[in-house]
Amino acid sequence: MFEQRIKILLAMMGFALAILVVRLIDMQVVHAHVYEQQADRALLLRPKTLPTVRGRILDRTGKLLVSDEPCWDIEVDYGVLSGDPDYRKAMIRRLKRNGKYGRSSSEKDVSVRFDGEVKQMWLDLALFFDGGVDDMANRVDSICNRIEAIKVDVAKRRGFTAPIREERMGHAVVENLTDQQQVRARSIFSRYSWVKVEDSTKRVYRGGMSLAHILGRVVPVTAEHMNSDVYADDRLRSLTGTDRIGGAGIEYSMEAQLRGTRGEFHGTRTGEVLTSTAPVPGSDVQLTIRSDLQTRLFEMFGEQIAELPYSRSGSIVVLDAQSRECLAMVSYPSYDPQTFGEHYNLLRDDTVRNPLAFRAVARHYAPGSIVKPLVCLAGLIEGQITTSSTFDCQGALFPSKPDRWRCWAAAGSSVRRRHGPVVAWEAIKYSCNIFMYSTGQLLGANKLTTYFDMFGLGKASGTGLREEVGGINPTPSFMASIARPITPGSARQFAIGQAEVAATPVQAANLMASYATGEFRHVSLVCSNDEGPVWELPGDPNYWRVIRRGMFGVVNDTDGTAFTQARIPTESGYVLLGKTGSAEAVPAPISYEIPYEDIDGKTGIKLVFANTKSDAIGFFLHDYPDATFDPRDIEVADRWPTSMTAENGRKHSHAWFVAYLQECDAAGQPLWDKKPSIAFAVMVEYGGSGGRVSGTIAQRVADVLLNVLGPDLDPDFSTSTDRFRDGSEAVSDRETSP
Amino acid sequence: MRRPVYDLTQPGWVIAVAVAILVAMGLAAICASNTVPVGGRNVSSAVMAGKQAGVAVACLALSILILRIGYMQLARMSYPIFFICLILLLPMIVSKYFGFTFGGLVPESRGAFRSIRLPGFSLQPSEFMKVSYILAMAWYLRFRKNYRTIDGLMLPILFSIIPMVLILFEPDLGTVLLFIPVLFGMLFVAGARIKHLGAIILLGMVVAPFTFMKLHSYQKSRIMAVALQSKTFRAKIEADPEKYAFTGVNKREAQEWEVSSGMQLVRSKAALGSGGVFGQGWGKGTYVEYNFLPDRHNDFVFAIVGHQWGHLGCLLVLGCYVAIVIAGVEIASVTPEPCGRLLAMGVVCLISAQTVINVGMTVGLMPITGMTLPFVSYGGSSLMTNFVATALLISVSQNRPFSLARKPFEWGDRGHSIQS
Repeated sequence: MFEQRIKILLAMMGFALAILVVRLIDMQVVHAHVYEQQADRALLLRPKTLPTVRGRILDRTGKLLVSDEPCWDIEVDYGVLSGDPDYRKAMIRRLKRNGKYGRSSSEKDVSVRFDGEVKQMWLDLALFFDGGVDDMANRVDSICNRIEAIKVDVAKRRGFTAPIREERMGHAVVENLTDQQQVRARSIFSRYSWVKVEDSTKRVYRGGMSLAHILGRVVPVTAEHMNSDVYADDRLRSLTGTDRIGGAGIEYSMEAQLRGTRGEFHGTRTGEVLTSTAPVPGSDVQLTIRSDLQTRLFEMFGEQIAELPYSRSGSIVVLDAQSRECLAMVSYPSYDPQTFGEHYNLLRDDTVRNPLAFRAVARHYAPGSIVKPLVCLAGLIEGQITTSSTFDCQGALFPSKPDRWRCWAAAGSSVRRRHGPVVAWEAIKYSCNIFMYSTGQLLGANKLTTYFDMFGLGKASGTGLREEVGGINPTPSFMASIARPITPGSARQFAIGQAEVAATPVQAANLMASYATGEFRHVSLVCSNDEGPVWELPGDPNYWRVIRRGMFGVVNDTDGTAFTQARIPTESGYVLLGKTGSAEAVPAPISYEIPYEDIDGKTGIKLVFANTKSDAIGFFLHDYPDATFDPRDIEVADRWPTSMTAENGRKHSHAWFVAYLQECDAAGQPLWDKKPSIAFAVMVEYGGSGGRVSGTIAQRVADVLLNVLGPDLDPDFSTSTDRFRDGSEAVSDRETSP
Repeated sequence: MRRPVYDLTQPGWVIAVAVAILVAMGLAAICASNTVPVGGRNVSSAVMAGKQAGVAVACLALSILILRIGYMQLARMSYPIFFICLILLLPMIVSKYFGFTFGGLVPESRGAFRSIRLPGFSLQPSEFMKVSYILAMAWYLRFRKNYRTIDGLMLPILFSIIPMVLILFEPDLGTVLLFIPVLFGMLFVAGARIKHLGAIILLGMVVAPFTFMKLHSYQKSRIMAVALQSKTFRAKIEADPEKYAFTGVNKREAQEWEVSSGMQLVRSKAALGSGGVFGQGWGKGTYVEYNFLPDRHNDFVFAIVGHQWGHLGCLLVLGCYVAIVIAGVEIASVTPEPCGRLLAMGVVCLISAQTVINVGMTVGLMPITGMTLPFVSYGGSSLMTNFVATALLISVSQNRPFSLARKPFEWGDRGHSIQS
């Protein structure tokens, strides 16, 4: 029996041995190549990405406005920022293994020491940054919220929750250290293994306040950015959670060009290089803006506005009338891009001046009288009036109703005045409402809106800025969408640029450039070889001469609406042709009172600075997330201007002046065969009369233009950057507007 | 009657030569690289090999001493020895559950308390437990009534359960699992009734799932490693983690298996497989030159053997064990004395079970349990245990049966040849 059992036991052992040997043969003989490949793979180093830089932004003359500059950031591991218990456990284990706190200390000792060091690190960081502990906590919160959102989003995309790349990275809690600061930071933070002082770049904005809106800014990447990333499929160009992306202005609209491509290095431990791709910096973007002109205009505008009683804000847009390249785009007031982050709350709550608003493209106003040349042109083209048709201005359209449909000449003044019988060009010069009411009525609202459309009202002007709004062209479909009927009265209102119709300052400048050249084009803000389409506007040259003569008269005839203010000396060789405009404006809300009840049942009234009710509710909920309130109880607390009427008893109005420069002879007569070079628009919010206020400013604008641009003003000499025009014999696809 | 110490008998020499080859291969595996990673530090391989060689010399001396004393003398003292070994296990349990480390005498390693640190070296009492267990079992089972009746079987089961439970609490699952084949093998060879053995196996099969449930998740995932190697199995867990919750492996672990808990196994297989037939050569190859394979000089030394010396090297190592086993069986079958015979079979079972489990885990057929490869793996206590065990084995072969020995315990009528 013993023998037998030993044999059985031996057989069992032999069986086990046979299995092992078969397995070994399978691994080492049959499938050896598979494992050899695995062994080779083990030698691969983790691919390293090499950081890239974002493209620069230059002005028209090649002056550097924005660039990435080297700096240092203090980065803290995400596990410490988020207080992830798994990270803490792993870190404690690692610290224990390293023997940092003595080899024999227990896990509990190490965890107490670790927690203490993390606390100490926050104090050190707060001291180093002198921003205080609260500020540091806010930064950490915002980083964690952002990464958490990205994580949720990735999980949604993948279908399961898994750790993401960003969680294994350090995140910058203190940025933009100088060389000296980084040396100091390294000496302070080297004792914390989870804190690193890393090379980084900061975006430096050199344009000052005047360019802040145009250039925009970069912001940390969020989940939404990653979802809508144009380069999502490009491994080396797609966004990561530690990147920054354009959040406003040119930084946003030119993101695709500006963003660089990361490099990549992939090698083995034996020193073999498998792939090595150098990082490619993002492309530079050259603006059409002349930064010297922009700065001068901004300063001049600020000085002028300071003298006005109600106005705190406005905009100037200067276009090359031929190419429609934007030479200057002033939005006043503005902010300092370098301190934007720190001052954000102050800027946001300054609801009177609204320094954050990009007025040149993001605000639209009733265009008022600046559409009058357009209305005349439409009337002439459609045959409703002729160059010699007259309408008799008696101060009001209907003698029986002297208080309605009045001409501006009759308004507000104790002495009743009138323009009498006027022809088209005179009507423009005098800005006669009666002529326009009549012409508009003859054309009808629908016809008028087709002409508005030809001149670009109601559609984005083409700058590509995300801030840009399209203004309003009250087409039948638009009127239907807001449920307003179109009446004969509508046509009369539209003809003087009131009621629903609205235009942005950049649209107004483009409108003037179209008056000057007889063509419609898109406005461009970035130099490119593509000139874009051109629409030849209809109309007999005679008709165009009528409206240009009218606009010449506005500034240069003694009875023009802006003669005293806007006329420039003939010695300059240029005359200004322009049109005034005043758009009625109600004082805008600047703060709201929100009666609320908090979770403890306590009631109170909170004053919130905001320009609209929905903004007010948004800001309120941000500060009081748990409070309840009834939106119907919210009331406007203050408005600007504070009084409903101006000193002279008239209603408040925004002041427009749109103009272009035309070469003239010694006698001050325009040389009509010369191509006009520069068109511009001036908008002064709550400025009052277009002629008196904006006209004065327009004259200063012309002054600055002549001073700064000088010989560049001659369109044959070309103000455009020649290097973008070289070789490309532009065959523009000229189209005739429908 | 006893042979002189230097006369090892024929099977004795076979065993001695096989052991010498295995120890030499172990030393060569340590010396393959300049440094050896130990607990996060790199230690010069010369120091490590020197230490191991020193232990081997000490073990040799110990073996000679055992041959001099003779297994029978030791077997007579087997109960006190067993009891002392049990006492030695207690400090580990005290450290683990009462946090008292005896002044750093019982250090923690990866969450387990397995050794007593003395100046210059450390001891693993569980290793000594193995030999004293075999000795005590052999001593007890030499009487027929002790294994033919269920009452008699109670004591060996108790003998096994007490050290097993103590070692399980350290915890050292690998050593615990080693007791089972040894117990089974000794009972089986001694001639225990098949129905008793069957009952024990049945009981084990019932208890095993409950024990599994009670394990730490890292222990579970180590045991599940055999199944987790399969991509399809991991995909199944990822697809329906609820259904596979019993495995103790969650979705994330299944996803990251290859780079986290399965990393060691994946690399061990890659090291072994990439050795091919002839191997990368001594001191060459990815897994020797770079520190990719944790525990490469102890638990996973077989992978390094296969990596450097290929399939032929593996066969040489396995061949040595086969030689030891066959020589051991030969010794057992010619020894009429029941205690020596059982002792020989116990040692054979111990060495073969360790080998099968260690090689099995290296090639991915067995759970990763922290088992050393006898004579090859680095580690003084393990080396000493195996030396003592083989010394006992040789000692059995050297000792003629006592003339006054009881009748051989078979009660069948099969004769047996007695070789003098």
